[in-house]
Amino acid sequence: MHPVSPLPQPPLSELEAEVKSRVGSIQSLEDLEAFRIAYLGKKGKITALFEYLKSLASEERVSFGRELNQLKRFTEESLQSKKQELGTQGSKASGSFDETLPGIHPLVGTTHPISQTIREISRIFERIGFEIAEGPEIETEFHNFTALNIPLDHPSRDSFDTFYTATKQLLRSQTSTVQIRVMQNRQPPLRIIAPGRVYRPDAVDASHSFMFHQIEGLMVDESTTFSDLKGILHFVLRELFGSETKVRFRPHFFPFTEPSVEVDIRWGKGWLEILGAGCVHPNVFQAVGYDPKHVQGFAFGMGVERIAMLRCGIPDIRLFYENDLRFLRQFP
Amino acid sequence: MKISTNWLKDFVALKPPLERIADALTMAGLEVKKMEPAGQVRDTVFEVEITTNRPDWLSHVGVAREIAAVENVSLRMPSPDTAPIRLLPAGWKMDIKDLEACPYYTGVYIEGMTSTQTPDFMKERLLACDLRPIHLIVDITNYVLLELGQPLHAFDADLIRGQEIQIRKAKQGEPLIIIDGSKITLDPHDLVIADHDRAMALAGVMGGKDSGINDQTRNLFLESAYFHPRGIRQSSKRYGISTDSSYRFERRVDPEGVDLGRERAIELIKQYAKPRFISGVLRAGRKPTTAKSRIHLSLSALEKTVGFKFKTHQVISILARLGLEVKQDSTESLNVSIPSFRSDLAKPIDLIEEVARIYGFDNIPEHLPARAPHPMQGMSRLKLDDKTREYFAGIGFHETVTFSLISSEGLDPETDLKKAVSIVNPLNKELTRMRPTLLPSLLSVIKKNHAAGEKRIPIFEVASVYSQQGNLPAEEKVLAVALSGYWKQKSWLDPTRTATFYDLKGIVESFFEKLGIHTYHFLSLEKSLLESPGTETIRIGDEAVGFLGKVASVLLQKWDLEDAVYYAEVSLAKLLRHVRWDRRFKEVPKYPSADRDLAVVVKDSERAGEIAEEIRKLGKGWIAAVEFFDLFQGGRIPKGFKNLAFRITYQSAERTLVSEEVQTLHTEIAETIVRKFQASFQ
Repeated sequence: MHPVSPLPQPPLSELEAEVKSRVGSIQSLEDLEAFRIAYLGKKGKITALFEYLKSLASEERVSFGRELNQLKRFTEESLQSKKQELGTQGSKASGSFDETLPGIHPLVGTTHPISQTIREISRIFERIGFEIAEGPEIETEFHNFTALNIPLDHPSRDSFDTFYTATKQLLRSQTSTVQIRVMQNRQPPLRIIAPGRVYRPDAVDASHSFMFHQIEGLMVDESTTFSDLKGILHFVLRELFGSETKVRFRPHFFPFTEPSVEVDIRWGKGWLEILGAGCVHPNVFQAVGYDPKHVQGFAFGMGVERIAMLRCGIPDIRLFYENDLRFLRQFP
Repeated sequence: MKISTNWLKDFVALKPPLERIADALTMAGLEVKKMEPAGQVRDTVFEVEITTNRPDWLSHVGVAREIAAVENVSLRMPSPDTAPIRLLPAGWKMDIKDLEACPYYTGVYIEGMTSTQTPDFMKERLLACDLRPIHLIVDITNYVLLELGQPLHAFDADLIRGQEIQIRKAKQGEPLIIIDGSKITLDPHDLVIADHDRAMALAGVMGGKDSGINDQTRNLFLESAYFHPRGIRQSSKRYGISTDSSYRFERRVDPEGVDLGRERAIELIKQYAKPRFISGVLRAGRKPTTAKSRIHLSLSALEKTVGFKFKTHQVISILARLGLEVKQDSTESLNVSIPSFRSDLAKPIDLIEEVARIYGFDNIPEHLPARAPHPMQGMSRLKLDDKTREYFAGIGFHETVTFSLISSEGLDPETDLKKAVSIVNPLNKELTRMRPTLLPSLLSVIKKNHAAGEKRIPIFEVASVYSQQGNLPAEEKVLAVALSGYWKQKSWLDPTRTATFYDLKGIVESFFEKLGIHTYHFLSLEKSLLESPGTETIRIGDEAVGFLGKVASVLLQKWDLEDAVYYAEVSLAKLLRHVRWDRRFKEVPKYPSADRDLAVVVKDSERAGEIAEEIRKLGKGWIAAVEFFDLFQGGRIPKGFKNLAFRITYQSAERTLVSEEVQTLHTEIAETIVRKFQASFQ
């Protein structure tokens, strides 16, 4: 017999696959012996191929021989390691399949609950046509305060303590700075949200941190109203906390919006503040060069950690930044 | 602030239950945080949170006024005679040197108090509001402050030198011992109330100890004034002293309250201190606003902003209930005059908010706007962030979020530390720098998890690094990856091994491949705080986009870590320019391939990557892959040499290669490699 094809026949890869799958199913020493006989025994499949090898022309014989030898070595090694494995299993070796043995888990990582929350909230807004915007964390006085109608030397400034850098910039205390940058660079209509890190020199405790994450949003065009603000935010909160979520809109004060509102959700027997919002103040439009007579809209902001804490029952904000793997693995 | 509901009942009817009123106030923006019983009399105290735009709420009358508006009931104001006819005191002089800081100052001289007993009702109410009764006169000034929001100050008239009151800026270094006994050195920006010789009080903030009311006081001088908010705020901030008085002045008090508050206090002093003489009013300066300001409110603007059509009579009723005077100009417009206590109302939008607020935000219908879709900008940047997280979580890494603020610990003083952005008012000395690298942060995470018994710590973070570029800070988003301990979890079927540099390198390589970047390469790099050799820069074309390496042992010691840590940092900002999102189909090979192994012994200094590259070049286009599969040293291999094994996959896109031609090429390649790299076959 002389092979017509330059490649060895039958294909060794198929046989190799067969060996591999058979090795995997070996559960007992009996299985193991059957396996040995089937491939390496006197009439075994691999043994038989060595007979076939002799029939080949010399060049073919070299290459086919090399591959066949590799397969034989692989089969022998598998046999050996399986034997050891069954040996260490003691009684199970002679017993039957143990369905209580644990499966072998693949490597599974996690994204951080903060990124998960940002991602989830972003998805909701993306579905209703909002873009995601980003901006610098080291900011100017103008973007963080002046343009947001927060005058220097005014009590409204007190709730916005800030870190300053050696070169007189500051670490943004809210991501509203991104709204200002977007409005400076683009014309309405705008629908954006800006997630990111913000910084406030607050003493750290279970619910405060000097660095945390916010998502701020802005919708501006010729006709967006307070009623639209209510509709959109209620929609988002229902998406986030469930369709039964009860919401109330409570008047509040922010320098950069008017009317300003805090939105509470029903939580157990009480109400929990979940976000701040309002119609963009005419002074803010003026600061970015928009004509307040022709544009209107709303802005809102929410704390990412707070939302994640509520949704997942996380009692202490510090857990987010400790990055204990036992914590992170709880949010696959 | 605490508000006594018993006290409120002096001014407005409270229809029970109080819970309902508390809720109504909260839903009007005057948030009642807590409700609790107080005192021996049956009183209930509201703890309210007052936003900075509403200084008029900082009193019982102010809160009562809001209740009157919300509940649509009438308000009874305290009404002492504000223009009494009394004799001016003989010999007293009063002068304002800075009319901007103090536009209006009034005082009354009171002589011969015969009683100092504070009445019980007043004690009860002060206590309910967390103020301790001290002395009848002080209690009365506090009482009026809580009732009307007008801060007052009383001096012992016998301690005022020269019967003279000056309202002036402090002299440089002028001393003042304030009521709590501490001495402050005044700044020329501070406004003080002084007598002929010295400063007696830090105006609007706190009185002085040696001019104040004491147990011997029989004659007093009562001050009621309007101070400019900014000056009070600056002085209050300068000394870190915030008082009930400064809190109100810096938010702006009602100018009309100056006379009202003073006369209300005199009414009480007359009744309870029973003095022999009360003088007429000494005045300096003028009340800042006398004419009422007016705002035209367009009803269509109201509808356009809120998105709801209010009935005109509702709008008028709401504004009137708030104490504003409303006249209808036309069917479209209202002319609203603003009383002095509502300095926050200056623009039409302020009135729009008032109407919506009192109407009830919850009563305004919701609407979901329909808008045209528009293209999204910057999506590929976000997509890169997402893909990065997806990839690393997918291969078993855990994303961390660590603080951007760090200490200088673990930063190289020559490079990182020099360009780090520093914070001038840090919370503590551990958090003084905006990090120029994520390495110290991730080392801390490894340390913490190692201490918790983790044997395998694969982590990553997507965050910005910061550097000072001259006067401007720069931010760059990076991916940081760290790997320490086992490569994978041990199981009952498989053993494990510790992670190596090459694990991290493979991760970086396959990450790049996932992003459609194939033109990356690695060059060895010397970098402080990373081990050298063993650190590589990652380049795409000529651009360095990141680095990876083994963390130097000096750093591991600082963090008390024993196991090796491998760390990579890649600029996502730079990577973004090379990412390719589009995927092009390439023909799956039709013709069979043949593998041949090539094992050569070369000097240690030879580079496997260069040999593989050479093999590829020699392949005449017939090499589909060169896989490095073994490195062996020792044993039969002489010292200074290593055995490298490559598996070469021969394959042609055009036809099936015959065995002879594969063999010929393979032999040719082997010979060339041997020659070029001074190699030998084992």
